[in-house]
Amino acid sequence: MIRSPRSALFGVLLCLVALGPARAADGGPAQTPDPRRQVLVLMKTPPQHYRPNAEYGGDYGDGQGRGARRRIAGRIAREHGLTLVSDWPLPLVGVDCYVMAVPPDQSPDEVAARLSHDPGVAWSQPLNVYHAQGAQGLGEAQGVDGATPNDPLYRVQPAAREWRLADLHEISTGRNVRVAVIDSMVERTHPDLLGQIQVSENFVADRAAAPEQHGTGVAGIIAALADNGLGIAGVAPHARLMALRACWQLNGPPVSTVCDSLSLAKAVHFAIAHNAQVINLSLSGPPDPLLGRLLDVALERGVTVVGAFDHSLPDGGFPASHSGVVAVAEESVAATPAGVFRAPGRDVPTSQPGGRWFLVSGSSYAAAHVSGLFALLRERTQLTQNGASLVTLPPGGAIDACATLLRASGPCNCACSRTRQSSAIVRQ
Amino acid sequence: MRAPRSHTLSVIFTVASLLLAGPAAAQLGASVSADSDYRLRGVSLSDGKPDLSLSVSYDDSSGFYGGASLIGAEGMHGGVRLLGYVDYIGYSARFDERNALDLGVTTAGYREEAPRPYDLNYEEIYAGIVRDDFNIHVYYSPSYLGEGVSTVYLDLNGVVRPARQWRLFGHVGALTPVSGGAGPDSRRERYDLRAGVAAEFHGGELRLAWTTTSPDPDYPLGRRRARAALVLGAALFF
Repeated sequence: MIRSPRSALFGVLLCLVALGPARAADGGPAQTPDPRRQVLVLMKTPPQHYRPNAEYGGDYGDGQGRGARRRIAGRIAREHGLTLVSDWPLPLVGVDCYVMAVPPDQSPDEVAARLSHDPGVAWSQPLNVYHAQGAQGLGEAQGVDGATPNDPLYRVQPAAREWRLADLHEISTGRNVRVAVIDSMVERTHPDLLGQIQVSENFVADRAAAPEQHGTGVAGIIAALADNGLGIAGVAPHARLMALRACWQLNGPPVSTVCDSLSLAKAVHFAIAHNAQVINLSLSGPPDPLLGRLLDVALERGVTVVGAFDHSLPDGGFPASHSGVVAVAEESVAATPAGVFRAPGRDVPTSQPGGRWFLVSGSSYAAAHVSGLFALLRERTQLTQNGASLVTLPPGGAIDACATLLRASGPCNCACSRTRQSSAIVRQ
Repeated sequence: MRAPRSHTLSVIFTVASLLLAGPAAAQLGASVSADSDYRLRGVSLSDGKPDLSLSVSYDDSSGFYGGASLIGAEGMHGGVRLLGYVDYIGYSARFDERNALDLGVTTAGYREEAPRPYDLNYEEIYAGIVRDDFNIHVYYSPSYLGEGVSTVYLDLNGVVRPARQWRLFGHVGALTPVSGGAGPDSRRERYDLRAGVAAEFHGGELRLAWTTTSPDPDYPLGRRRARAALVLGAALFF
């Protein structure tokens, strides 16, 4: 019999508290940096339910259930000679995701195929790597005078001329539309992005958290401040950005931006859970079951998902090839399959780290333009699907942004509308 | 404490499920938790003293689940005594992307020591809707806590996650007698509230919750308890 029960019980409680972090350090996941030698093991989470004597845990599940799945994951790792690296709940697709490192003498593909047959596993897959679809141009963008809006680089923005950005902004500026930029780290303090970023999250572990080129450039094209006397005007300057870092910059040369399945899955999950209306994915890689399921959830919820078309990959690469995703190529790409939109993406001035602006090119930036356009559409109309059917494509395949926006917003006494009427009269 | 029947229920279910589903598909969990006070629907059953719970749970991929807990608390004359048990079986199935229907039965028994030893038992069936960050259940007991009063209890639980490792939770419940009982107290509706924060770490969590009940919640009859309390808890999951 314990003689001092109250103190004994609190002693147990304190031990529990002390043991928790120790478990994480001793028996918990280890850190393994090489994503190409890892597999994802997805374990189905049962539907949530009442559990007496326990506190409700919400969609991330209850502790006992998580503990059970973690133990199964540990068993699987031991049986297959793998190392459990980390885990992440993904309740929107009803799975917990376990990352396991594969030893050098085994192939991640073969390990994933083998693990998929384990009755405790929903499926397993290699950790795929994705690349951003953009490059920096030749030099720092120089300001020009006399532009309207008053952003000095406005006149050299392809969208200013081809999309008649100022005319679009008479109809819509994307006010309060939430656009998730799933990319490398965006410079929040860039003078053209100040106050534009509503949420910022970093889903890249073990990498220095510093502003990066690709994400900062994509964010600027979508939602740089307009009429602030600096830099450029974003396509949707009143949209609210969710800057979700799922990619990281490799400082080459050449500089490149890469992501992996898990970092992207975490970011897409976050974007859906936090009610993003547009998700921009300016990247490409191989098809991925986990990302595919997450994108399906997003599309079912009426989110517009925009992906960069990669002509070097079959079907333009994933996620552009995924059904329901709005695939976008930059306009100079000679031929694109039906259903792939073409938008400005060459020599585009945009924000870059260090409070600067550079010229950038690539499908990444074309996708960013289209994400901005969907933000404009979503301010003017409720979309229950991805909205691709609203996009107007004249002969030639490049988007007619004015016509697209008018189609969504209806007639207006605005420049877009007047020009359209004039064109119609001339044609008659 | 009316233990054998209720324990048999969950043990049979657990063993049968393991045999039918195979160990690899089963998710068998366990936890150890300690709280500074054991409160059932806002009412302290441990006289405001700490408790320690051992729980096991079983989840099958088909949606069937079950589990049991044993709760220990400080005895009146020192030492640790068995305060009670809870067990449950149920079935939960998603009927759309966000919502699941949850049905089940739970049994519980507690032994009170003061002012004289007596048992509090109840059985309940429940049904509810569980979704991402919110659930609602209704429970029916033919004789709640052995008072000969059949009751309906309605509760709502919600969760908000300001950050991945943090959870804010809230609970509101209402217990309504529907038949039986002679005294005025047995006819009274009771309400309970709980709100708190939990910090989750790998394999466990820490909780701090404020809980209270409606005025004069003398329950079981003739016993007075502090209405509101801050309850600190910790749990390890296996």
